[in-house]
Amino acid sequence: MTSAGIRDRVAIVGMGCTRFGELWDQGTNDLLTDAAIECTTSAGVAIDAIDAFWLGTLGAGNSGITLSKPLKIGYKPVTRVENFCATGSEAFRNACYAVASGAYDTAMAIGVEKLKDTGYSGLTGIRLVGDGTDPGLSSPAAFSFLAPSYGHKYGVDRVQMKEVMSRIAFKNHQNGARNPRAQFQKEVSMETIAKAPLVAGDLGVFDCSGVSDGSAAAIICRVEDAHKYCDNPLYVKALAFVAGPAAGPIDPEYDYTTFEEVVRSAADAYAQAGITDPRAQLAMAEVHDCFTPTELVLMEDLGFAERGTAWKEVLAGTFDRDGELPVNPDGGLKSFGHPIGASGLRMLFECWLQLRGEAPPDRQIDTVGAGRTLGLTHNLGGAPGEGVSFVGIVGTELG
Amino acid sequence: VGAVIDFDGGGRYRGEMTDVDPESVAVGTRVAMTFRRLYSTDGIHNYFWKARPVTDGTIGEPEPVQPGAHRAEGAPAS
Repeated sequence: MTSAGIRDRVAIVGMGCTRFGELWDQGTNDLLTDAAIECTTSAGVAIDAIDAFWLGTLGAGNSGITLSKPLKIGYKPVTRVENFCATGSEAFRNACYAVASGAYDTAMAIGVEKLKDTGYSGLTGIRLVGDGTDPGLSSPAAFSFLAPSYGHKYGVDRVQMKEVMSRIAFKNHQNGARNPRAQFQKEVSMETIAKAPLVAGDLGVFDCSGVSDGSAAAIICRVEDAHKYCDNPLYVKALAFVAGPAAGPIDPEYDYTTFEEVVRSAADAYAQAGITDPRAQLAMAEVHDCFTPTELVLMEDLGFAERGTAWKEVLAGTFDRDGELPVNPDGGLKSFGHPIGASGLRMLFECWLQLRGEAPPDRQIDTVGAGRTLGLTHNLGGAPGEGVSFVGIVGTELG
Repeated sequence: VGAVIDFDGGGRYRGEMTDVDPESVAVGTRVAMTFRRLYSTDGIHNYFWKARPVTDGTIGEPEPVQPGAHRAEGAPAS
């Protein structure tokens, strides 16, 4: 796969992110408005100064009107996009391309989801009419296949796998506990995680991401304009996206221990950004930990650990907030929550805070102080063997 | 119980298991296909294939086990 990329051609100059959670007193319009206002305030511009908008949502609304109406945008181009759980990243990617093309001077990417108050716990959204033979596995069920498959392939027994999965949830809850915007702000013990009621396979309640409401937004402009708005912008180094052939459910070669879509999009992103050793070069990574075994597999797919070794690295604390490569320092989908359309932009929001040294001292990562300047966001959609994947890289320095 | 079923001689189906104790399912469990009710809506039933463990050899008489044959990959799902 080749993609030229748009390295160092656009910059993020403002961001906003609501608290995520069960926000019973806030509707979609409130969430969008709050994220957009924080975002424009952060960039020091009025909403009128934004030329075009990309709205990402799985199911909070159709069309650009979902955004233009609550924000009173007037008569501006607003594009609504959807790409499964990678929807927020997709809104960001398209807004970046629009600015890089020269079509607009400024664009806002904003994502939102209102999963509560739907009368259903879990993902809602469109169920396409099939022929009645679809077994209709839930998301936890589809992702639960990763755990026994990984354990079987690499000789990790069921008890050890449960410990590894619990360790990932433990880490993400520790991080979320320090984050006032996170859905779950409590540390949870390994024992509580491991003994929680099962949801699907060996996945317990604490192995699953938070079902939540929330919104996040970014303002993008060309790099040469960035300092008009912001003293310390984030430069976009890479944007990679892959939709796979979705053959996993019928292909006996697929072994449920990897996401080929992630491997491909990561390779593309690293090539665009000129990264050869992500584990050593990145200051942090925000990855799509929809379920704990997903984060485990991602550590290998993204090149942070050799095949078959990520489980040991997890137990060794490599990806802890004070580890060699902090992963999900904001708590991740697990603890920060997963309002679908907002998640990709929420990941960028953590890069925005951490890489620019604006995270509170009690959770600022050390890798930034040590001179690393790059952050990775990874957003996954679909299920193992039939998914889409986004990998983006941002940094605080040009070149 | 959800599972990924690989067939002897090639082919894969991802679907449901039936007549099974979820705790007994592991990677490599041999299964046979059986035609069962999948959905019922407003009294109308929809039938399709499910997998169940081979227990007595009368259904799905196994070949000498080949590596990778007839594996139920994954664990109890729902």
